[in-house]
Amino acid sequence: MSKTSSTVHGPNGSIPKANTWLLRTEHHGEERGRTYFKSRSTREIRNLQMRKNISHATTTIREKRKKVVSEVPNWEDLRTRASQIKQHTLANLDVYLEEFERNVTKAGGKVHWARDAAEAREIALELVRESGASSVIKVKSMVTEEIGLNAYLSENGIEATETDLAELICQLAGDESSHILVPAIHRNRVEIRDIFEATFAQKGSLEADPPKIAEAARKHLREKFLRSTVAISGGNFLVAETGSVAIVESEGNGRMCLTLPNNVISIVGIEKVIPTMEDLEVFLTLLPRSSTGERMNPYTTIWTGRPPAQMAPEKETTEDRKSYNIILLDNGRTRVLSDEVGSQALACIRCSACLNVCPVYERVGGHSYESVYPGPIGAILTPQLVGDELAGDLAFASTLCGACYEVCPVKINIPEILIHLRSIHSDHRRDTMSGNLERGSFGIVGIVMGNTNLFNIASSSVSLILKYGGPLLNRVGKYLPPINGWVESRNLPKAPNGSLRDAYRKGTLDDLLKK
Amino acid sequence: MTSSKNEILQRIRQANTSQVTGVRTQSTLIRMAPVGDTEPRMDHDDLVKLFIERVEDYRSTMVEIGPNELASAFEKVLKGIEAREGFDTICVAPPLLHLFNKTVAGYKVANPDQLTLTDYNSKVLGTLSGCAIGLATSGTIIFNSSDDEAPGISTLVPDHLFVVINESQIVQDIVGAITSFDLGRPLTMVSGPSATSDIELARVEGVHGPRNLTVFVVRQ
Ligand code: SF4
Repeated sequence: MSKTSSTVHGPNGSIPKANTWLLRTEHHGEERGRTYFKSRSTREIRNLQMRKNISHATTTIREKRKKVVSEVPNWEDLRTRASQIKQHTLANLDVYLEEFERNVTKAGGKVHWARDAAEAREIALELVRESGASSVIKVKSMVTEEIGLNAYLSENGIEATETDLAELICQLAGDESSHILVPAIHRNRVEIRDIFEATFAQKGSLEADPPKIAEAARKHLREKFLRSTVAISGGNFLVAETGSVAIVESEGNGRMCLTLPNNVISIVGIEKVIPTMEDLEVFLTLLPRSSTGERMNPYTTIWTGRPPAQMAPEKETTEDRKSYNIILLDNGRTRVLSDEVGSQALACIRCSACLNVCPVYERVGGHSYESVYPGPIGAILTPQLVGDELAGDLAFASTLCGACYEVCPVKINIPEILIHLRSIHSDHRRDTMSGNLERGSFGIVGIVMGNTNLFNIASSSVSLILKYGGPLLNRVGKYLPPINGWVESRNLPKAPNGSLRDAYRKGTLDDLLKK
Repeated sequence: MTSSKNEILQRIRQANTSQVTGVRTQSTLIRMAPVGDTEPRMDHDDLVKLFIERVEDYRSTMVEIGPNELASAFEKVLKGIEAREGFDTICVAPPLLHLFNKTVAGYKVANPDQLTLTDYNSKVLGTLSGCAIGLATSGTIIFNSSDDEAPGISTLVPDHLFVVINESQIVQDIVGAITSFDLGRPLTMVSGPSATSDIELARVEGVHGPRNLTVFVVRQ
């Protein structure tokens, strides 16, 4: 199980700084430092509005998901199949990516390869510049967030507008997204109304009513859809056999972006490729049910080489022929691939089911993870993408209850990866003071538990300490290293009225149990 | 200097050869678990019923009609729709144009060839189109940009989308359905009207695509 640091970094060298864009810790500003899950979540957990909004959302989607999943008698078979497809593809990733490229090219599209975030941003900027546009519209995409695309485009004079309602809310408010599927779920309707009125809508013109707010977004964005000449998207699935790309969405903003502008650029992680159309059918059964809890999402667009044209292809003139470019992004994924246990995380189809069932996520919210990828999937993906030094603490953002594994449509064993990442983390801490202390104390515990006399002495002294010192320690413990880490967020247990072993010896077991 | 492509492929190969388990081999594809049926196989009549039920579940309108009833049924539906100022045109897919005589329910009937993007945005109330197939289990309609259909923007930009489907075009579910298409043309899968749940998870219909979906099922 134990891995050395070279495994975390993989055979491909250390982590480039550009990669840390997917972290969004505010502690280090532009430096994009490391995650501080513990202190951030301690703060977030006090945000009662956020918690209320999130738990309402997760509870609702959980119920919906359960219902539509129970309708599919072969659900477990589909999960197994999906996991096998992903494992197989990852094992032959080079073959399938090259096949995908060949087929896209044959159908008239162009494939680019980006080793890291900086390279992907550079290619995207170049393509936008070639088109002559000074603004772009965007389909919801986590990868563009991962590489910090919007900020980069804006530094270079290109305005990017998010067209998914929740992404738009986040963009206008300057918020970080807090959920994979519904990124603005930390905001309620009144806050969203206020954000719209503070930006594009007139003050006092809007009611805090979801249909009215959605209508305002429709009007605001319609203009942009009609005028824009470049759209940037992510991609849910890439089909190697045909060179097709599939985008799954609800609002129709995806279709607008893909259909109206003449230039479409997709930026997609290399792990999104699947071998065949038949495989796509499996994923299209699993994804919507796991994600929004619907039998199918409102719109799925699948195209090959060129996205849907405004007019029937034979009626097009050469000017309105669409240009299509797709950027395949590594950005740490090959490093994840080289870790035998951790590479399972690359099978993720970003459905967000694991977030909705996670007791930790439900309480601390998405922002606590300080990463573009929150929740259980974030806890296994972020430390692997940016390295243990920067985000290793996220592997501890879990109770290991296993609910995420149960719902994951591609059967990613999230608890197994968490434990694996924890062991990497403690290996890294081997040489630090607190690491030594921790190992030292567990060594002592080992000796004590291995010896009956020592154990008896220890257990009675612990009772005494708890009984007389407990209340005091609860108050001052947080200032006393090394126990502060524990006492900070927990109270010590109440002292028991004697131990089971004592009672057994004295023959008073019945009395003890009655109490 | 090696190209980015070569470098990424090289990294992948290196990562995969460092794996020790034998799980990841080409042969896993052959030994894959069977997926079976998402619902027990149904007879055709039940299939059509399920399709109707599942499309309705998305808050769409379903109208069952006989072989020659489309024109009259469509007129009736249009009459029931609230008028929108300035929106005086209905776009009708070319193969269905012969059913109407220039107008329907007071709206001008237009061939998509004569309409521009601006028209769709400012005067077309809705579009009537055929489709490729329907999926019963999920209540999905699939367009494949064929000549029977109105073009992509006409089913996307206006407020209303009206789809005609023959009961013979309905299949059980997606497994085996999309593999049958020629992928030279884009596929669009539509399940209910455009919708969002982004505000407090309250479902709102009609964000950017059509707000209303009406499906005419032609029974034999
Ligand atoms: S890890 Fe599994 S459950 Fe979580 S988002 Fe990815 S696919 Fe969905």
